[in-house]
Amino acid sequence: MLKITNLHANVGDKEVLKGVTLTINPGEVHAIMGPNGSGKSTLSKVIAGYPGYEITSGKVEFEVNGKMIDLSELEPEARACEGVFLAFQYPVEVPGITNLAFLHAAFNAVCRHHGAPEMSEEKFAKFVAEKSKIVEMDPRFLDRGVNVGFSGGEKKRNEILQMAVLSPRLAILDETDSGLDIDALKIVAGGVNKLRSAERGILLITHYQRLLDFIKPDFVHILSAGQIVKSGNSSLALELEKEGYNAYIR
Amino acid sequence: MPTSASGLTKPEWLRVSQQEAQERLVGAALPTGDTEAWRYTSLKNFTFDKYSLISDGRKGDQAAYAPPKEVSAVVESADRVLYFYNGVFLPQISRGAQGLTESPSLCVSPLSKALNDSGRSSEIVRFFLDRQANADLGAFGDYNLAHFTEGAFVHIKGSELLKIAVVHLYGNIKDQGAGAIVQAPFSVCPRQVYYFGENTRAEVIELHVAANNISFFVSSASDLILDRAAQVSFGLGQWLGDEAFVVHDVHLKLSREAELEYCNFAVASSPLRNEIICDLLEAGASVKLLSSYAATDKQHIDNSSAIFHRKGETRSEQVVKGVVSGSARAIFSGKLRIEQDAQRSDASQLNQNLLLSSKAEVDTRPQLEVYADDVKAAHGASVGELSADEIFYLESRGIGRDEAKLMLGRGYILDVIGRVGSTFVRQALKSMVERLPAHYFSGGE
Ligand SMILES: Nc1ncnc2c1ncn2[C@@H]1O[C@H](COP(=O)(O)OP(=O)(O)OP(=O)(O)O)[C@@H](O)[C@H]1O
Ligand SMILES: [Mg+2]
Repeated sequence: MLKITNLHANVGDKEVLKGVTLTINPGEVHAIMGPNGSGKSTLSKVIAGYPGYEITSGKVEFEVNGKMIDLSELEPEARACEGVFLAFQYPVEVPGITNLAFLHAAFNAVCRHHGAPEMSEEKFAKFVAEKSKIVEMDPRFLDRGVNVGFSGGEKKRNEILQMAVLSPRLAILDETDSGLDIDALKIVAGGVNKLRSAERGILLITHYQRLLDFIKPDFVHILSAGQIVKSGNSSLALELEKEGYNAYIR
Repeated sequence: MPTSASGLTKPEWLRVSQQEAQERLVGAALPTGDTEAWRYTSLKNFTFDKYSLISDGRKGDQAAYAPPKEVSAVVESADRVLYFYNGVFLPQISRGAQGLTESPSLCVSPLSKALNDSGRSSEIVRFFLDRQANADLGAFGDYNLAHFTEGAFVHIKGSELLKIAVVHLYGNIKDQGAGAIVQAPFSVCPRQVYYFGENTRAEVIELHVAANNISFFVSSASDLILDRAAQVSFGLGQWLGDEAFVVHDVHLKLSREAELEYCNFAVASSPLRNEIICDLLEAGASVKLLSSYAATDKQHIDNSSAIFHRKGETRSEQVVKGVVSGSARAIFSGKLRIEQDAQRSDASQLNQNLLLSSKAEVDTRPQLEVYADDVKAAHGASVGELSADEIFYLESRGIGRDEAKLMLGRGYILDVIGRVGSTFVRQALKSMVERLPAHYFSGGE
């Protein structure tokens, strides 16, 4: 459902992605690990359509209505409506918009995109309350400004709530585990596991093997200096934990 | 009692006060650009004579007047509602304003009725209005004092928490039915007196809404007096259209331990000027003064405030935030004065603007005067644009760019309104913000 081919991308004048190739099929969970600054967040933002991240060569294709299309042809909101979801490494605070209003607007935007009827405020509030349980989030967070004053861990939990509400086909989780305490990590990982399905592809970006104990990936990739230098199964993460990146970095 | 030209009966003291105000007006010059307080709002093309006062005596078709749906929805949950149309009381659609003696716990009535009450109401009104004659009200204050005939009188006495709505609707003269003799442009001078007794609690909204784009002058004034330990949440909503010239004077007086949250949302006019004087008269008085606004096209909004910490342990927290687009202009002048007697007081002031167009303009003029040494006083001001990261965050969830901008722009204003504790007040102002059209947030250069 996602096919990245020899992707090169610049951030400003700097080439950050230097030929990434990666395919994700429905139902698969992939993990990307790699040193700080290797381009993991850049890759995730390029897929989501962050403005100013320029693809210089290669391409990112995504399956829409049974056909692979070039994602760069879609505006970021259209990508989201087609089922691409990015849980940000650093979720943005949006004062003045309540979490509930934000989720409602997003949910209805996706409905509109697919020609489905929008959900009323009342019905949606119930729907979200149900979804909040997946990440065991206190419903009071729904009436607060989006991420405003949320702790680091609460923000991450909120990202997974959004994922649960929007039910994307491809979910990219950028270091969702960092900042979570041990209990929260279990809860959030449990939430992600509940959202695992045969139709959904998941890309986990993480620094820690611990997350992969909870969410067992089908594939593990090591990204270094803008390239995937090694791919393997879940045992690769264990090796990495033992040996560090040095063994894999060219 | 003598009868005024408008047909209302007025007590002698008021007749004298009004006469004096009228006399001051005749000789007075309007503020010019040299007058510091009016530096950014030009009165070059303004004269009082340009507007004819609506005279009264029009009872006619107003009975049939129906308030706009958005307004009636907002005031639906209020316990008492006073409606006015071009400054004339509408008893038919008002609720719970029958009489002055209806309840020992409160009195909500048109001001004209309170003025003529033989009991305490007229004394209260007199106490607050008669003394205005000695104050330096400036030309606009005098204009309102000289000409007001009607408005709201609210006196809370009991401990029951009540929700009260005062709604001023404005519309074309021709819609007014029989007896409408004045041609536009006209002026309306509503006046409110709110008196919150000792230990009382109340939630009040005052709305000024023009039904359509009419060219008129609104000179309105409201006094809020909080007696000891009164706790009040007050919301002022203004949406008067592009053609309106609006000057709204507010005087807040807080006694010992009184707590007021005052929140204004204004859609700018041409111009709209809000002038607030806040007196923290006794120890422990505390005010949260929130102002928010939206201005676009050639609109102009001028928020001017002066907060006086007269005694110790008084608190003020002021937040003034607005969204400015097109070639609109927003001005904030905020004076904060902490008197020598006001030790251990705490004051903060913040002015933030979201500037969406390069032709829009914002002026901020904080003015701190601190005469006590053991106090906290802080102020800050900033002007910003919409954050690209915030826009992208919304887009990445499926929300289109225009809708994202609209949500973020409204959110900027709602961030102020969200600080209001009273659901009644907050919802009333919020529903106005939610009706702001997209072009207020699109830049519109
Ligand atoms: N706006 C920017 N301007 C210049 N350089 C940038 C910008 N954004 C990112 N970079 C650079 O791009 C490189 C890749 O950053 P990226 O955020 O993708 O790393 P990462 O692999 O996610 O790292 P981490 O593990 O620390 O999250 C870094 O060297 C970073 O400094
Ligand atoms: Mg990163």
